[in-house]
Formats: sequence, structure tokens, C-alpha cells
Amino acid sequence: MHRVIGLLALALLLRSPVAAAAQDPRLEARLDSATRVQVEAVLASARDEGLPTEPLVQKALEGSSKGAAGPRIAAAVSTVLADLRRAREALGRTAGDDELVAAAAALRAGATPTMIGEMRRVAPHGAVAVPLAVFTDLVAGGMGADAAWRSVADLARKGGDDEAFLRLRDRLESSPPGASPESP
Amino acid sequence: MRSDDRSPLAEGSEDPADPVIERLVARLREPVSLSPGVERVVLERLRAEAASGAGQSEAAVPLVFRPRSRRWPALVSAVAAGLAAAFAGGVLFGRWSTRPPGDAAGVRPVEFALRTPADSAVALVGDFNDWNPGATPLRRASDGVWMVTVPLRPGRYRYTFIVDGTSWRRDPAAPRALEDDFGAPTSVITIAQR
Repeated sequence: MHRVIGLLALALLLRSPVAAAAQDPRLEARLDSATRVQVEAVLASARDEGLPTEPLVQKALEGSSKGAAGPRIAAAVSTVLADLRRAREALGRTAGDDELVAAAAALRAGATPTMIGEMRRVAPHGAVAVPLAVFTDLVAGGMGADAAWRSVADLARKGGDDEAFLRLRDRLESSPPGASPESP
Repeated sequence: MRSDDRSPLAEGSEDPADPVIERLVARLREPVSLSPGVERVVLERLRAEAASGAGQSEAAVPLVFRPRSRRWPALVSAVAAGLAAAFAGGVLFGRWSTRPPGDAAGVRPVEFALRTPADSAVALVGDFNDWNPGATPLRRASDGVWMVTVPLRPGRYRYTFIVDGTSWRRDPAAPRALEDDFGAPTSVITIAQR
């Protein structure tokens, strides 16, 4: 009986996310040992806080592919974790991974936590991932954060679905510079 | 149960014999005498069965004593053992997952294209292929356009093209990613839920 309990405990330990993530072969193959230790420490923090780790892994792999130095990779991964923390403070603990990633990018683009919370309230079914992604895309395309936010928030209040947000972005990005944003 | 609670019948030969039981036992032990007719009929039937071999045939053996094939329990045992091994392997090596399979999670084909000289080699790297330059090469179409189709689930992905293994180019047809932490141009694509 004790042997069975011991095997079950071992199986659960090996099955745990901590053990699985700590042995991510992607990081082992692409990062030097010192950088990997730093990145895995950031991953451990994310896991402890219940935040998604895949965006952090992808950031590290992006840095590796682009030939970035180890300290720069570790710093970028830490920045992504800080963004995810801010995103969850704005959206709450029930936010999904996609929503956290989109909110983190929107915060970097100039949205405030108050704006993020407002989008949660006004977006159809509270789904914020695509509206926030479109806001970020519009800012990256050169639109001011306030104007981009007005466009996205107006469409959210009108009940636009995800496809409508993407059409809004495509239309605004193809508009001549200086044209006033307009919701459908 | 205490020893002095035992019933007389359970005490066996340790107690003095009951006279009534002794009489019954003596009666049952008396030899039974059969009539000569009965003995003859039984012996004739036994000889006949021995001559025909019917007494040794499988069909003559009562069903309850006939050897039965037990193949299905063996098969069931093998399947059960396989399932147990698969489960144990899944638990030990983390193969069980609650994540839905790719084709059942809203995956849609997304086409990426870049116009660049025809003698180039173009690869696509991004959040969807671990930024692996060897994972997603583009094929040359026409007029210097290189294309590849990638199945993607709804979400937001950063990506870029690598031309001739050295030149990083963002997608001119897609929004630029703000979070360029490593100095190379990066694009972003958002896949909406249907």
C-alpha cells in the first residue's frame, strides 16, 4: 500500500506544471545556461502568480533568434512579466491568457488601467482581447492613443463583434493621414 | 461466541454419541442389495457406451464440465493492461492535456506573403513556431511573391520574415508590433473568433 501511495505521489510530482515547465526543452536548446537560469526564475514567478508563461517563453525565443545578448533577453522577459501583472490588475483574476496578452500590449501602447477596466464593462460579452489588440495596432500605426481609444470604445458600446473591430482597424489604417477616425 | 454456547451438533465426536444418530448411521451403512435385473441393465449400457466411444466424447461430457475457451477475458485483460500503461505513461510524462485538439479550437488557415527577389530564400518566424527559422519556409509563387499558409488559433501573434537567412523584414501588409525589444522589425496579426 505504501508503495502504491509513493508511486502516485511521484506521478503527481512529475505531472506538476512546475516540473514540466522547468524542463522546457525549447529554452534549454536556445539559451545559454546563465540566461536560462534567469529566464526560468521569471517563469517560476509567473507560475506562482498564476500568470501565463508562454508569452515569456516566446519573448526569450524571439531574442535568441534575433541574436540578442543574454542580459537583454532576460530583461525583455522580465518586462513582459511586469506588463502581464499590470494587465491582470486592470482586468482582474478571471482574465484569460489572450486577454492578458492583449491588455499588456495596450498598456504599453498608452492605455491606462482605467481604460482597460472600462473596456471590460462596455465590450460585448466583456470580451476585450480583440478590441484591445486593435487599439494597440492603431497606435502602432501612428494614431494618437486618445483618438484610437475613442474609436475602439465607440464600437464596443455599439456591440461590434471581433470581425467588426478588425474591419475598423483596416479602414482607419488605410485612411489618409489626418483623416478623422470614425466608427461604423 | 463463547465455547459453552456451542450447539451439540457442532461438537462432533468429542461428546458422547446420541442414540438416535447412532441408529441412523448404522442404517445408512448397511449394504444396499439391488435386484439382478437392475445390475444387468446398468452393465449392458456401460458396455455399449464403451464400445461406441460415446462415453469419452466431448459431446457426452456435461456442459458444466466442458473446458471453455477463455479468450475474451484474455483480450479484455490485454486491453485493460494497455490502457493502464497508457494512463501511467500519460501521468508520468505529462501527455494528458485539457487543451483541445488543434482542429477543434477554431483553427483557421492564415496566408503570409512577402514580395522579394525571386532568387531569395524566405522564412517565417513568430510566436506560433517558437521563432524557429527552419520551421516555416515560404514557397516561391509568381512575380517575386513568396507565400506560406499557417494554421492559427484565435489570438494575437508577433512575427517577421527572414530573407536569405540574414535580413529581417516586417510584413508591410500588417500592423507593426510596438514591443520591439530586440531592435528588429516585427509585425503582428490578430486572429478573431469566428
